[in-house]
Amino acid sequence: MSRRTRTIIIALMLAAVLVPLIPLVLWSFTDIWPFDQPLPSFSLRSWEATLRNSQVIEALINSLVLCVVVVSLSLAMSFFAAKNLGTRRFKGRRLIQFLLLVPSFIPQIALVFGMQRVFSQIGLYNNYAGVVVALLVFYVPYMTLLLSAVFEGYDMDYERQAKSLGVSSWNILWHVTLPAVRSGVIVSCIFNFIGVWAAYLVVSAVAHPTFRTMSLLAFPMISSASNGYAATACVIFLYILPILLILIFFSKLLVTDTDRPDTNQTGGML
Amino acid sequence: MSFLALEHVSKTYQGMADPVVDDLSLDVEKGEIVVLLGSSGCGKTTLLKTIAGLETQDAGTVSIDGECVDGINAEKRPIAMVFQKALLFRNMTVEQNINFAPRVNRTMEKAEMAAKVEEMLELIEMKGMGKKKATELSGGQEQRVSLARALMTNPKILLLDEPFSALDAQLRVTMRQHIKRINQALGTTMVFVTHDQQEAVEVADRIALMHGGRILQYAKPIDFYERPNSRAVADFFGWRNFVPAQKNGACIECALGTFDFEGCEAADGSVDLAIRPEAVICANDMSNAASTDLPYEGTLLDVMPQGPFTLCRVSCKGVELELLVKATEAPTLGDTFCFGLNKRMMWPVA
Amino acid sequence: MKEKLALIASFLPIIALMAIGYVVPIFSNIVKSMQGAEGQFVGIDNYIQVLTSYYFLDSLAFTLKVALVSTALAMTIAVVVALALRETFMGKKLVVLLFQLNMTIPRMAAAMILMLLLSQTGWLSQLSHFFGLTEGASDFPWLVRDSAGWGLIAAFTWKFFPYIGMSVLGILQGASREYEDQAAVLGVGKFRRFWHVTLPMIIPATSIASIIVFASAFGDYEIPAILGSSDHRMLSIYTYMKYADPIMRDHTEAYVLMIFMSLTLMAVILAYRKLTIAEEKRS
Repeated sequence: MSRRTRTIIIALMLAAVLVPLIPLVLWSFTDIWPFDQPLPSFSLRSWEATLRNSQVIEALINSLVLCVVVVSLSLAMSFFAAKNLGTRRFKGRRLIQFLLLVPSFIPQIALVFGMQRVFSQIGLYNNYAGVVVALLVFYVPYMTLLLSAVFEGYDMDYERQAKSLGVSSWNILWHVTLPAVRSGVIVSCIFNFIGVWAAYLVVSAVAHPTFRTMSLLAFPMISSASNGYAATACVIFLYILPILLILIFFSKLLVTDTDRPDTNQTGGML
Repeated sequence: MSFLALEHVSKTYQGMADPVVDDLSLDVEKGEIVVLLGSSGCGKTTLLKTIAGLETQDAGTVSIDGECVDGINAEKRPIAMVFQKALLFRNMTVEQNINFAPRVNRTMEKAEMAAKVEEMLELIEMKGMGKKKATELSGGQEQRVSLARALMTNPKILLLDEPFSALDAQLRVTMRQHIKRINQALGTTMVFVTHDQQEAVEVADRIALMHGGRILQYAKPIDFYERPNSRAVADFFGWRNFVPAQKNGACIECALGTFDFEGCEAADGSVDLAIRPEAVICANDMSNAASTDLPYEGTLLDVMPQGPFTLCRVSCKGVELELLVKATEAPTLGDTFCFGLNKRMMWPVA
Repeated sequence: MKEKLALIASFLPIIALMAIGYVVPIFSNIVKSMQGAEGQFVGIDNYIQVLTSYYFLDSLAFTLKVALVSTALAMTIAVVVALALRETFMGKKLVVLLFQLNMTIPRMAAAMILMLLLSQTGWLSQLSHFFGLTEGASDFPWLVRDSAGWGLIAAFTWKFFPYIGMSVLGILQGASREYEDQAAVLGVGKFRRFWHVTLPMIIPATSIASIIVFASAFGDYEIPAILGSSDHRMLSIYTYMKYADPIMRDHTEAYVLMIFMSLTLMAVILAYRKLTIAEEKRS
């Protein structure tokens, strides 16, 4: 591929990725944007209104807390299973891998209402615990698959070496295993976080009507958006912002090939 | 005019301070096997890739059969290369791998191609295995197919980058024999890279010992065991004893006596007289001894059995020598050790 | 023995979650899908009725079309971009990071973003009007919420092409390089190298990633809810409509649809597994 062709393709790709973001940004920084103006007049009114809106702040906090809780629990629940899946070959391994893919592949609309019914019978409906568990149902398998890919590249010999030196299991975990898989674990948590952050159907099916996350807040605004796009644009921008920040903050990890778990192994949960 | 000529080739990788290939010149005769020998980082693989066209040198020229190939892409150079990994195309059979280049480039008729593949299979001693899948082969078989695939393109020069280092010891020996045989049968000029001294000595017509991007010595294998041109070369090739000496023309004076060495290119003055551990001669048979001042009488300091040989550390005339004696003739600790030294295994080095 | 117990124990939380999260619900759906208006067992009557209805078949055809076209487009764009990105160049790290941006944008946000850009009252329309290419909002072509589904296709392609792209890029920067060098030193030129060496090496990863994209486009709810039209509906929307319908009977229809989608996607998982296991065996 010649240098010129390459540059053109890359330029086109960057345009395709970045240009669509422009109207979003423009709409958030204006109040009213008449059709015949190519660029709107600058106004911070929408931002003021949005950031003063207690519902928005509440949704933001709810989302953040929910993500942290779910990701932490996912990690705890999937870590050892993933390790076994990645480092050992045992009977039933293929079956488990298949079962773990189900929540990633089967449309949420086909699963969510059944889940709702089951949850309401065991007291996990219309409450916070229900939301957490519902998210875990989808994201623990996802995390397990991501982590097992990380562990595929992990050499158990290090642990055997440590064991032969008389190191305790806890110390092996802390000083040998975790440091070795550190960046893979972090990247898996990032993808998990992004998935939970974007979750809509699952949360809306199980949560109490007054519980709002950013996704629950944004969806009705988008669906019913009339020409008053400014307010919605601000909310969407806020919705995307943490993702952008994560991408920037962890950019180093996401750009080197070696530590990234292969997204191919895991289905599309994002 | 040599068949492959490198003149003043230099290359420095971006961001590195020292050049990986430093003003290197080399000539290879048609039909020769030349080995580039050295430890990792000495530049031998980079040099090979430069000949292949996979790397471009910063300075200097590369010529093949009288024509300069600089600026010509790898695929257009009259070379073929075999790598450390066999890199057989996994979705193809042995036959499809071997005829890959002429098949894909459409440079041969089907019948001609089939005949030549049969020839190649015979050459690599894998007759009848043409239909086997590339994924069903052992390591040694893979490398042989890789060789056949390269030879199928009728290259003027065959380049080999440590092709046997991934194979086990026994297999390596067999593969070296294959290479010599193929070279004799086809007359293909070869440049072979390795870090294994034994392999170099068995395969090469000439060896270029490299270090720090330069060639330390370029000579026939036997020359490294009889006439190393520097201490560095001698060290690499297992010379273990270095006796301080004074050189005056062809005359070498040291604690062990005065000797005459014709054709030594080291500068006059302080040199080391290098002595191979195998240079030791039994006191009973002094016909090859280096000087009349014999036999030497030394005190045995240490005796280290090494299977069929025994390494003896001897002190003689104020000099400590390590000598390799046949186990059956090995002295016992405490004995006075009488021995001679074979002059052919001694040489002054700077 | 202790090892075996530890192994089983590590999977217990997951198994429990899967049981209450989808195993039991799916069975419950199956039961409900085979019930009539008064709750009696009617076997597969419901299935025959729903799966042969005109609106279902229309929805299925539309969903397949949108999913397949999106996947095909995403695949093509991804391979082309990955080929352009494989060399080192200044700013490559930033570009690769941006390449992954779309994957991470939540679906509803992606839908909204494209709507702000492509709709008749969107920015492109505004610019087109301003520069005199079109007259007013209604002169601009229907690009979203259109009956052919191009808005949906654009959204799915936009969001998912990096999936395939990153996968292909990984192969191009890794294993593929040395095989291409080998082909080069055998005298095979650039284009033939690409065709005979590179392409066979990226096909497995591309196929695997494409299956994921297909499944995502097939089953997604958010993007069709925002960018879909009422002329033809994606299966997920159709299912939701049936579920939210106040008439009891159509509720049953919804369960049939849910089981249909579940079974279809399980077949897709099997195809996906077949490919991934084959890939595993190869390396």
